[in-house]
Amino acid sequence: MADSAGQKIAAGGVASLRLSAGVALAALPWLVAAIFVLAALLAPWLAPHDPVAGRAAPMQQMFSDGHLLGTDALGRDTLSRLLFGLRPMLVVSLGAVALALAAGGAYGLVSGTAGGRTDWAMMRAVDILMSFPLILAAILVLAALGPSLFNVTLAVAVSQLPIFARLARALAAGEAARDYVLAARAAGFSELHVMLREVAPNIARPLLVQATSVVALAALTAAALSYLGLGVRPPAPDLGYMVKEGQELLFIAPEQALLPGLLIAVFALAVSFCGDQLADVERRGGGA
Amino acid sequence: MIAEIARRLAFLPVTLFVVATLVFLALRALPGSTVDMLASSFSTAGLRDQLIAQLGLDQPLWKQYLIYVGDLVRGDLGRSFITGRDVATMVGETLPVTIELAVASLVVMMVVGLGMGLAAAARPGSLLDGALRFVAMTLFALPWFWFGILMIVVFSLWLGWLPAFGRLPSSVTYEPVTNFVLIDAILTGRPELIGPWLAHLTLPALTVGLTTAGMLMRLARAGVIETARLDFVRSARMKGVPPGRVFFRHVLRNAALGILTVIGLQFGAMLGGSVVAEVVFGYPGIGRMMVDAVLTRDYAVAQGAALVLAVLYVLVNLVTDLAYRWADPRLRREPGR
Amino acid sequence: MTTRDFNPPTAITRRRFGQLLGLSGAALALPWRVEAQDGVETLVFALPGLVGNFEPHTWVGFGDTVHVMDTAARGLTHMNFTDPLPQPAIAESWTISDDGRTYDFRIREGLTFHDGTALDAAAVLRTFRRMIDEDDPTRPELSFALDNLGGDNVTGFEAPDAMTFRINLAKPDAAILGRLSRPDMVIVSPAALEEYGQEIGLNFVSCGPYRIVDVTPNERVVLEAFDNFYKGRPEVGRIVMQVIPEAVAQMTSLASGDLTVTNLIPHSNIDRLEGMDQIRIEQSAAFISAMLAMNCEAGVLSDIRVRQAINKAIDREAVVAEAFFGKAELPGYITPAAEQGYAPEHRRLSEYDPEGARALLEEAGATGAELSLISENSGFWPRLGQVVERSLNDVGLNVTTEYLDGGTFNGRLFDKEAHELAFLQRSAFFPDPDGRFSPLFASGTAGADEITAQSGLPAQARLDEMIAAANAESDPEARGQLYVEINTYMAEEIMPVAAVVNTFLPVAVSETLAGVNANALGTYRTFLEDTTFTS
Repeated sequence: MADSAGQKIAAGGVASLRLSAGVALAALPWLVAAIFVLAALLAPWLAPHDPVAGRAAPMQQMFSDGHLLGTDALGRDTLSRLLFGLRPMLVVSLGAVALALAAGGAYGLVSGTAGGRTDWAMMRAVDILMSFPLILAAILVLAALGPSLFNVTLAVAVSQLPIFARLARALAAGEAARDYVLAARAAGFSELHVMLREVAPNIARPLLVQATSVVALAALTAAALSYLGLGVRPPAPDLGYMVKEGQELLFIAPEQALLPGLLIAVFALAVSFCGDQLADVERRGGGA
Repeated sequence: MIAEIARRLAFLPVTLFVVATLVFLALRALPGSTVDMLASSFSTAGLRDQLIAQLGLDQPLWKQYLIYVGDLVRGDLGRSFITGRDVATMVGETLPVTIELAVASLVVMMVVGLGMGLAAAARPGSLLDGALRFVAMTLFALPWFWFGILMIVVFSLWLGWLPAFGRLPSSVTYEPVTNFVLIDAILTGRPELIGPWLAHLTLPALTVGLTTAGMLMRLARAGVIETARLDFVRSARMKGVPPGRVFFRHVLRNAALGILTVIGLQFGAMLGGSVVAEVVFGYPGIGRMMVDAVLTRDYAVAQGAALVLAVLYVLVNLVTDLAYRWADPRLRREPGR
Repeated sequence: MTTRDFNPPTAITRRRFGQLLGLSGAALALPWRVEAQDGVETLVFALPGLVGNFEPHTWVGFGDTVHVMDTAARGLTHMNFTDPLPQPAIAESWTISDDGRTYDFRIREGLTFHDGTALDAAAVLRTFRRMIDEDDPTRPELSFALDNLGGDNVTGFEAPDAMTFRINLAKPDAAILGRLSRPDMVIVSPAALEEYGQEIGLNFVSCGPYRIVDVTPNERVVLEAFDNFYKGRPEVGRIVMQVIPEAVAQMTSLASGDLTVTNLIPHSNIDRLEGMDQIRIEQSAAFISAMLAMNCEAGVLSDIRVRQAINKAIDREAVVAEAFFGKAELPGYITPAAEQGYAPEHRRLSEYDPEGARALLEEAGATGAELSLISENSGFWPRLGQVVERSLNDVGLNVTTEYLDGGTFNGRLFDKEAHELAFLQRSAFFPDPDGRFSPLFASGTAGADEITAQSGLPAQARLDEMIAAANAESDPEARGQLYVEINTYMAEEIMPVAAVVNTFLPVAVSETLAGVNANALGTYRTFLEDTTFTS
């Protein structure tokens, strides 16, 4: 008797332990993402040195005095540059997704709600945009507008536009066929009203979930552009460009190329998991 | 289905026309021109004017555009300002390289992605499932260029297993016929080319294939798990159909729909997006040629490469859609969308 | 050579790295190596890219074409980058008329082209006629060759007898002997021209030390030693020029022995590679100069005191140490130490003097002035740009640098309305002192008119005279002295550019190789005919 009670308690303990381990595991990506955001925000206080003007002996090793991760070819503290390098990554990836979400979402909303020939024409335009080599589009944007943080954001946003336009269109078309929309139209509300007040609120959530899951893609695309030397603005630190700069030093100071790449990967991983969780919740919510 | 193919193909010229026009305009909106590149090492004002006239760049933009479109309609992609060679020839040399790389990457992606996805779906919620999902997500989150460098360091430099650059070792003489090494090896009866070619292809294909396998794994897993829950699968099981047969005949076939779409999309993306891999591994593909052409303002080459990539993208999508229709009996019966 | 001692601290020890590389070399060699043909020892050279068209007239840049052209072709004269004077090549000697306007070249007897065609004055005339005759059917659409030889100043070519070729000039031009050694002045087989016409670049036949056997664009060129080269058949029998654009891949293949010569590795890796058993770094003279061009019509830059302040503000020792890892030289002024026209006293023209710079800026009322600097976004430029920007801001300027793709950069460089400060690279395609001045700083060139916009300055007229006079002087010593004076005059009276640093392309070769012309390779020229395998 006592035995089985003990077993039950033990089993319960294991279960709750599993549960809390599951919760902790689920919280981990959010925690990591939060750390990235905080570190970027607090970079001026966290960074031991000025990432741009700092001037020490160049090419110091890791763990040298005062420079935990050493210094680069120009004598700047690597740790400080990594911390400040988080900023453009976050600004570009979040900014680009927000831009693409707003523009692509609005486009898809119009297309899906309008239906008919308008819808067909608008979607063929998206098809054409998708057949346009994306890297070419990004290069053209950056070469035409010049290297700046906003222009990089714009270039990445262009590459994500079709994702949101297509999703928003599909969702809006689904909603537009529903009774409440038909009712609103029958009641004589304008198309604009139908779009903004009836359809939009109902497609916002899945779009936001999708947005979360493409932040990682945006960060990777931005890093690839920097790696190709496009849109970079030295001496401001940028993780993708740090990989490029560090690449030729692989045999001398491998950490200079490896660390920034690792940070990009960890960030992309964390936000991917976050997006995945949101998508799971959305799927279950949608099913119920 | 034939009507659909015809409709899609009929739309192709429209797509090409728009892409051609966009690239034409965008290139000319860029600051700088080929003349600056050509003249940069030795130029007097007179020589520059002469160059501009010779390249036809002194004509009004609309006239240049009409000439360009006229040439296109006749199937003439033009001539490179910088290399003085036919753009069609240059595309013929670089496109097979990119296709080789894309196909090899696709194979890696399918083997790894599907393998992991099916293994994970066999026992959802198990430790293996969790681990595989984590691996898949990590692969997806790796910056391609960084992963490529890492591969070179590990497999070329440290382990010395694989070559890090190019398509063939320099000790081999290779006279291209089709520019596809595999096909040429068969055509010209030189099987000894295949080993070195595969060795050179391995690292770039792994880099592109593995980083894209993550997404496929997740889709394959989700597809299989969801299909397995469906009624017809359950009833098949209850009818006593052997599990293997259920899996292959019912579950996999249905899950294949989503998977096919992803594979098509990814293949299209690989064709145009392999630039980074081509740069890291020194692979002489069309993506790198296109980027270089934009940077040197070699208009004809950039335009030609963009057009060819657009055609390929459309065709790949068309084939994917057809495969999708073929795989899904419900769609097959419908007379097109 | 002046280099600052610079030993970066290390993460992996040199020996350990050597072992790693050595190991990988052995392993790489095993499974995938396919036997070289007939046991001929092959020299493998790394190319940045390969267009595959070797038309000398439309050659445009530093890329692949020059490497192949130098290996497969030869012109009337040759410059080896050690001797400052041009030497005989296809021409065995020459005479210059007293007025300096007629050059007679005696063609070497008994030479042929790679296709067996006889090489005589008529053949040479055929090559040069296609430069000047716009109706020549073999002439490509865009031909720059005549402009590179002297433009309008070249009035005609003749062949007075079977073995004499003559160039007529409107006014004396002593640099023409050097220019004849350029890669676009090579002699092309008349039979091949007849056969291929405008397609000659795809079927190139000349008379250089190696014969082109096979070209795969974007991948490789295979060349074979030529028996009837004017210096005799080269010792190395076969050369493969292989496209390997990435530094990491190059170093890997150097270590494995798959690559024997390259001038493409980054400066940062010189010390590393030097420590390895199977690789040697050759010392090259610094023929490549990086300069900061200042637009003399743009805002505060129109004040020469501001331009002088900028010149004094650049911390060149920091540039050498940080942007080039110690592998570069402090400059004199325009002419590098390796060329005629340099004098040690030029070093004071490019002295780092931040105090002096601040004082000059104060005097000109330009302290705190905002300036824009444009730079290319590839190669060593971004690192160099950051050090220079830092230097200028240290003395109280407010400089912002834009890092641009090549097309945008060149577009803005050649437009005086579109830039203030801009980086400029000059290298010696032939180390004649005139090459640094006439094409860039004489009025009427895009350099003087658009890049520095110095053409309108009062002191420019004198500079134009000095450049013309120096180039009319054919006595080498007197000529060198005139260029020494031009350097000083231009720095003191005009200061349209600040010299930043002189450097070279690092040349890494396999330990088994001797006789590599490192000076030429260090400045984009590729003369491999004297190379031998020692083991």
